[in-house]
Amino acid sequence: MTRRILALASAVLLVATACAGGDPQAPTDAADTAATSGDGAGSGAGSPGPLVGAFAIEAGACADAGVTAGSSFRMVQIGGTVSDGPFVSNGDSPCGDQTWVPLEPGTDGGLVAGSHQPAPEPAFDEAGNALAGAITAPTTWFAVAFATSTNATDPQTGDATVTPAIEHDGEGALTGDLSAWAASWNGQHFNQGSPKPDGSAPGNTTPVTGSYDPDTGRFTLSWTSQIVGGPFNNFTGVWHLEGTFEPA
Amino acid sequence: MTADEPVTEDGPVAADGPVAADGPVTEDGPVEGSAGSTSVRRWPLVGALALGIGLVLAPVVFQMFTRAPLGGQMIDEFAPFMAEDELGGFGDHLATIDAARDELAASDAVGPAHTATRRFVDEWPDIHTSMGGMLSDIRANIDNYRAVAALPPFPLFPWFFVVPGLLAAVIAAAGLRASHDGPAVGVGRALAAIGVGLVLAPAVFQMFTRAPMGGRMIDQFEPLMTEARVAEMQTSFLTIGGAEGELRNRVLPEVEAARGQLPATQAFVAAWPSIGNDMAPMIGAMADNLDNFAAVAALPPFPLFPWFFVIPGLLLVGLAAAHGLRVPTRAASSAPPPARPARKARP
Repeated sequence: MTRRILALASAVLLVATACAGGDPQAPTDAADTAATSGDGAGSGAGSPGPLVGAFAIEAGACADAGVTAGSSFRMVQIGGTVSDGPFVSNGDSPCGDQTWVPLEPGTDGGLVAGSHQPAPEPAFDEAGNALAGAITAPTTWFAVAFATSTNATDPQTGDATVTPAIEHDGEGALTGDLSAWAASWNGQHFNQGSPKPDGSAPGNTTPVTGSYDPDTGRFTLSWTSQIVGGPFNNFTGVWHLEGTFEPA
Repeated sequence: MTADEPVTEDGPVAADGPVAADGPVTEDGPVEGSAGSTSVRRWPLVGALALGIGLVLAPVVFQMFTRAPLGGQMIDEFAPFMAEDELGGFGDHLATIDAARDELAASDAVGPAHTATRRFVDEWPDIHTSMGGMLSDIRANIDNYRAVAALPPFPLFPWFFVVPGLLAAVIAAAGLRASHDGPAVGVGRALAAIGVGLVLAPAVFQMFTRAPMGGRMIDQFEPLMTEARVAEMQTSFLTIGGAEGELRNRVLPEVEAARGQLPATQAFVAAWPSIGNDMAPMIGAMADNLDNFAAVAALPPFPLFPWFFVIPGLLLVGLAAAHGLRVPTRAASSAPPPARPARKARP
């Protein structure tokens, strides 16, 4: 009930500010506005422009079904769609619906925009487990750990990438360039960025989008990236990060 | 002139062509305009020029500059898998999986809720047949692969046509120019040398044996190197891997809780990291080389390749011979430049 009142009040406030010329920092998402608290991570990060800092992720949570909160990963099988799948079932997922893989924060707490978080050298142990652990904690996938990293030179294609960049439009929406995002598994690297390092968006690849509440720092980031090459060629990674932005 | 020199109706014939009885003789034959001379044979040079240009253009026509490097990339990326040891390891993996499947099929440990395992048990026979067949095809082509890999690097292939073609064209053009302006030294011999080089190249590189082996490999890999077949392999991998996860996390703990044992299944689960470690890169190599394979398959048939050198080489030698191979004598080479015939005054 309180949320409804807050949402309604926010909507009224939004209309009022829009009529008055508008506050560019005001979030447009009523739900985001409703979640606003007085002790947010704002610090001027509500202005339109790039958000530089750490997008600290919340671990994915799931029970009998898929991931219901927090950060997650899924993989669409060849010929499938992001909305309807079919999705790859990972026998090591703790979720009831094992097509969902919850992600946990890595040693950096999450994604850092404005700099790379590269894979270590070597990137794998002898069993093929990926060792990168800054963004997300290594997660078991078909018995072998996969990891995420952002690299100045994409380890799969060898192409130069753009430094991870997330842009806030000042109205609660996020866009970004995560061409440097890579997943590593079983001795293999897969570019999982959007766009791809060459700027393309093959197949099911969709742009990075999300939401951001400058007052609380709460964010969501989602994108999909079709794999080009390797054992999962033409499969599509579906990435969802959510948590709290911490400006640098 | 000696008694051995052939004589035509037009007079004595030097090795390089018909020669006037008393006219100056150059390396390339008599010079037009000499007293009582006949003309230098230009058609062999025109033919050599055309042949040279053809050799230069052939790689462009066959898109060798793009396709050949892709073929080289494929050869390199297949290398880790084209070895008996590696393939033997895959055979062992298939045997391990097969034993687990048979054990599971005969066991009541797999219940309706074990969907991934049930799918594996149902689909494995077909997967086994497909993967086993693929391994057999690969193993049968190890020697063919080695033969192709022993050829000169693929990216150099177009240059094997361009370089001699360019040389032949330039030399022929110089010869043609000389036929107007004066004698050129060594044109016939140079063209002949290029021709001999082209004829010998396939023998030197053992193309007559290696190229047909490459052709056989391309033919036998054609059914393997398709998107559909790679997708089938990817799906099979997920079927096997999905079952392994379920077996490790659910079925085996349940069996062990009931004090039962599934030794073959346990062996499969224990070997899975190694299986996945071998299988995933192989599927990756297949997926990554679909375009490369298509590029190689689009090249002219491999068994014809040696003849692409031999035939132009023989033609070039023939044209050089027709043009003339005689080395100029000191007297001939020091002969004064030929005078062009005086033009008749127009009335």
